[in-house]
Amino acid sequence: MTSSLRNLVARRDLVRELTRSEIRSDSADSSIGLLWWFVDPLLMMAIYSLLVVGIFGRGHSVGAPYPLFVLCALTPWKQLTTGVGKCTRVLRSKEGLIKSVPFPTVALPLSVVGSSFVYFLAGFGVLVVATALWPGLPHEGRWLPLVQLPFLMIFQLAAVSGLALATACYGVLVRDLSNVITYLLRAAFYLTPGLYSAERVQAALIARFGETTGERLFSVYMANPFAALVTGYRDALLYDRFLEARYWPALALSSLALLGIGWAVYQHYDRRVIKFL
Amino acid sequence: MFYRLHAHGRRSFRQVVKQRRFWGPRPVLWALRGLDLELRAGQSLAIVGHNGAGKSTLCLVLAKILTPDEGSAAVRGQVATLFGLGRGFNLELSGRDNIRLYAAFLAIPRGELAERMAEIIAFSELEEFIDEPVARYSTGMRARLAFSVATSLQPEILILDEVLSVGDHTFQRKSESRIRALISKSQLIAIVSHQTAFLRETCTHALWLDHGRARAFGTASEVLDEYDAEVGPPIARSGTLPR
Repeated sequence: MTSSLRNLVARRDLVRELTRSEIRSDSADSSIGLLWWFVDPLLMMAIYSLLVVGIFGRGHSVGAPYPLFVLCALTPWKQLTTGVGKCTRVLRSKEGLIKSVPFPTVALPLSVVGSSFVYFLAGFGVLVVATALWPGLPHEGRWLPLVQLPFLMIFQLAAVSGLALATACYGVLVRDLSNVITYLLRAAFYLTPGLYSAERVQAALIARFGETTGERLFSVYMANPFAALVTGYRDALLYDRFLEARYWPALALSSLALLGIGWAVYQHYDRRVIKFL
Repeated sequence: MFYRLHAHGRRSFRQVVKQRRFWGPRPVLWALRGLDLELRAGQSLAIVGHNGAGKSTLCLVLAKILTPDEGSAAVRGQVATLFGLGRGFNLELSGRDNIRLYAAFLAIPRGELAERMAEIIAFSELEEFIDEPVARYSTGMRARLAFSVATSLQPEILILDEVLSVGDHTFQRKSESRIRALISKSQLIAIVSHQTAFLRETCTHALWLDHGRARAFGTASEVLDEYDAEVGPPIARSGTLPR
C-alpha cells in the first residue's frame, strides 16, 4: 500500500497533467467554455429556488436566503456527482491507453476527482461572492468561521476520492453501474440536507422517536459526510458560526474511512480489472 | 495468465441474465501458461507465434501492465513500450498538449520534456499543425506524433509489439532507423513480429509461443529456423530496414 502511494507521489506530474487535460477538454466541448463553471451552479440554484420557494411555497424557515441555502449544498454535491459519475467510465474510456503504456492507473480516477474539485472551487467562488453581496445578509464582520472552509474542503475531497476510486473499479466489473449510480446519487441527495436543513431532520426524529432515540438516530444521519459538509458550509457562509464540535469527529472519520476503503478497493482490483476492459 | 470466458469482457445486462451459472467454476482460457524464461541485460528476445498464441499478453506482463494469475514475473529496469501508439491521445487537445500528456504517461520529467519538445515536434514533421486539435489529424499523423514522443525516451527495457515503422514511406525510413537506434542502446529488448528476417539480425534469443505455451525457446537462429520451417517463409515486404 505504501509503495503504491510512493509510486503515485513520484508520478504526481501525471495526475497534474491529466487533471489539466480533463479540464481543457471539458471546456473545449462547449461554446462558452470555462464560463459553464460559473453558470452551472447559478442555473441549478435558480431551478431549485423556483421549485421550492416559487411553486411549493417553502424554504422561508431556513433563516437565510433560500437560493444561497440551496447553493451551499449544490456546489459540493455537484463535485460528488461529476467525480463519481465520470469515474464509473474512466477506466473503460482509457482502455487502449491502459493496455499500451505502463503507468499507475489510479491517476485516472484521481485526475477526474481533481478536475471536478477545480470545477467545485469555481462554483464555490460564485457562492462566496454571492453571500458577500447578497442584500439583507449582514455578516457584521464575523469572518472567523470562514477558517473552517479549507478543512471542510479537505474532508470533501477525501470522501469524493474514496467513492470515486471504488466506483472506478466496480464500473469496469459491473457494466450497468454508470446507469445505476445516477439514480443512487439522486436518491442520496434527497437523503442529504440539501433542499432542507439538518435541524429539520433532527426535530422530526425527536418528535417521532423521543429525545434520546431521536438524537441517536440523528447522529447516525449526520455520519453521512455530506450532511456534515453541507451544514458546515452553511454555518460558515450563511450563519457566521462554526459547525458544531460534535460533528467534526464523525466527518473526519467517515470521509477518511471512505478514502481508505476506496484506496484499498482500488489496490485490490488495480491490475485485475485490466482483463475485464 | 487466463481469461474467464463469459466473465471477462462481459458486455451487457442481457448476457449476464442469460448466463446460466452464476456461481462455481467458469470455463477458462489460458492465454499464457507454464512459461519459464530468464533474460539479462544485453540480450534481446524475439517472440513469434500464430495469432492468439499469447504474444501480446506476454508483452503486457513484461511491461508490468498485467500481473500473472499464476507464478510471478520480475522485471527490473525502466520499461518503455511501443505498441498501441497514440491510444492515450485526448482528441480535443492540441498536438502540443498531447505531447505533454503522453510524456507524463511515459514519466518523462517536465524539464527534460521542455528541452526535447522542439526536437519531438520536428521529428514528427507536424510543426504546422502542432497547435491544432488532434481530432483533426489523420491516423498517420497521430501515429507519427505518438511515435515521436514514445521514442524520445531511452529506456533500459524496450518492448515492441508489431510496431517497426509508422507513417508514410518517407517517415517509415526515419522511424525504422530510430527504432534501430533505440534497440542498439536498450539493455534488454522483447520484439513481437512476423518479420523473421528482421528478428534474426536483431535478436539473440527467440521464443515460439503456441496456444499460450512455449513451443521452443533458445537462440534466435535455431528457433526461427524451426518456426519458418513450420509456418513457411515470410512474405517479402517492400523495402528493407536500413542498417
